Amino acid sequence: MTSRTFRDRRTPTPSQLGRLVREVLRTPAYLSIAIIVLVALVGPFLVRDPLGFHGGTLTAPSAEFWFGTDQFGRDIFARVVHAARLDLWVGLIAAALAVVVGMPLGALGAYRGGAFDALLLRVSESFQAFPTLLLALGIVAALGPSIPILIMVIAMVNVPVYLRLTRSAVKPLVDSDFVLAARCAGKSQATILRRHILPNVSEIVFAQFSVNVAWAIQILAALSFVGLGVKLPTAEWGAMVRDGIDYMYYGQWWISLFPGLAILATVLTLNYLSDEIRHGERDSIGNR
Amino acid sequence: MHLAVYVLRRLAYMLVALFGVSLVAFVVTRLLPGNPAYMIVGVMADESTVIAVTERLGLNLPIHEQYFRYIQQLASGDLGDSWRTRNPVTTDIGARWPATIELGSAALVLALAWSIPLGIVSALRRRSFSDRLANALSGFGVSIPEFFLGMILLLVFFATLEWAPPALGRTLGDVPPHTTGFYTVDAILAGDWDAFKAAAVQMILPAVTLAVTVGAPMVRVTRGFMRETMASHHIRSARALGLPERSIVLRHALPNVLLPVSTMGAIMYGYLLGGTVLVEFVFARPGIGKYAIDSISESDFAPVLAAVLLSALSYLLVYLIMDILHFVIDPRTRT
Repeated sequence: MTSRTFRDRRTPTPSQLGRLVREVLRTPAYLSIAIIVLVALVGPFLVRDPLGFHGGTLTAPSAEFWFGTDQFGRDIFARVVHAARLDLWVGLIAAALAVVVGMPLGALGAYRGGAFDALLLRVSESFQAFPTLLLALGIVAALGPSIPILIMVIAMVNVPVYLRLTRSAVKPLVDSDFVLAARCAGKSQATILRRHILPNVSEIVFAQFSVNVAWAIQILAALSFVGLGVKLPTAEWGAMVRDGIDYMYYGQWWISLFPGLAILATVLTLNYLSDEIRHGERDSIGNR
Repeated sequence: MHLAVYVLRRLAYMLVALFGVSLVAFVVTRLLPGNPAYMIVGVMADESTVIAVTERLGLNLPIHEQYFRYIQQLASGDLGDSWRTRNPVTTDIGARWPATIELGSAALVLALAWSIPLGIVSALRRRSFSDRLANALSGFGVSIPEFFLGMILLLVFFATLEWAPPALGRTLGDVPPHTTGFYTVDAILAGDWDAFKAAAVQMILPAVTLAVTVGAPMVRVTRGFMRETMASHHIRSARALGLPERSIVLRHALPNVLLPVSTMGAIMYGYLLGGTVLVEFVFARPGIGKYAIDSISESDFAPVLAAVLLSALSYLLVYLIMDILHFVIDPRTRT
């Protein structure tokens, strides 16, 4: 951070872009998340109709149908690709909502302390005692499964994670000199939190974000798997695994296997991405 | 602080948490669609019968009075009735909880058996084969959905290799005479070797499934704490004193690691005892989790409420016991 040039630092230069591309290609976690996002964005335009009958029910994987077809003659490859978009979207939005709610609350709790902080902590603790999946199941059953409800429920069970994470990251900063200086300068509480404290914890939250997108996808898949997630016949990975459960052990393993592997690959990638972000952070601190 | 004071304080916390849990669970389950009265009397019943049943259940009362009634019932040990099974919920749960406890305990033992040694070894030998193995296994275990892992195990060991029995409940053999409700324990007590085998093989795959998913985060936690401890001053001092590596690891590092790791284990056990919905579902094992999921899909809210409460209670209880144990064992917590 020693050299200062007088250009707008927000627009990357070509050499920085080149470095970014090289970095992505070199790190497996970045590369595979890039592929998954690409599949989710572009894939649905390139494959068959996920709901259409394409001739032949329960056909094994072949050159024509890479992942085979299910009991309704639907192309499983097309469904897995279409579901990528849905699952990633729900995961992203739910995790983002959880950050938006949990991060300010946690920061505020740590900054103000006292009864407010204690109350927040107690509430998030009793949330932790809840069986996540049962709670989500109960709410979804009560309000009826729809995508917005699913997103809300998944976001809700993720909020305590950010609340506690942000709280514990902010706590040691509250009494630090730069916060004291900002306070002496007469800055308001909101400004201090937004401009001085939150930027310092954003990297930790960002590393956690990737894990929570993964978790959100797992919850969505689990809810759909037990029949309380997305409505049939929408293509969603968990619901597709469920579709094949009666066939899995009697020869037609491909109906459940491929969507299941899609969940595994995506969640694994997101978890490793988080590790990568954390390591990168440590390296950049070491280089400073 | 005195032990009794500490225990009382923790008990008070637990009661508050339980109250919160019951409140949320109540609100959520009362939102379930459909008038449960119809499910008792059937759709063909005339209106007066429906009204009578609605009143008997207190469903016409304002929601806060319903909650008050519910708490009163809870205090007298009554969890309500299930309209699906037509039994008191306590009876249903009494019949199903042993299946969950049996599986959860087996899964915990398996999880601890692989995760703690692997975590410790990988912390001691960075970048070695076991470190990489620990990384790969824990990454895999954290990422694979429980239900999918269960299905894969069934595909491999039941459908392909035919080593495992089909996933059809707790046993395919004789049900041993009831003493504890745990089929494996009952079979041993009765000296019935065949019944033990039939019940045990039915538990292997679900227990392995849970052991993988529950053990994976434990590997990371163990490794993290072990690394931290090995880098600490008292280990450096032990080294400087020339103690053998074996005694440094086993006598000076391990006890420090086992405390936080046992907390983690307690959390996991609490989670397992609350009923693992997905694994019980995949393996058709009649435990609490399966009971809850079957009830949810039929708007049968008393069992769902009971399952949520029980789940939270077992979590809080195990956590409480662990905290008290720590208080007794670890002098640092007593300040």
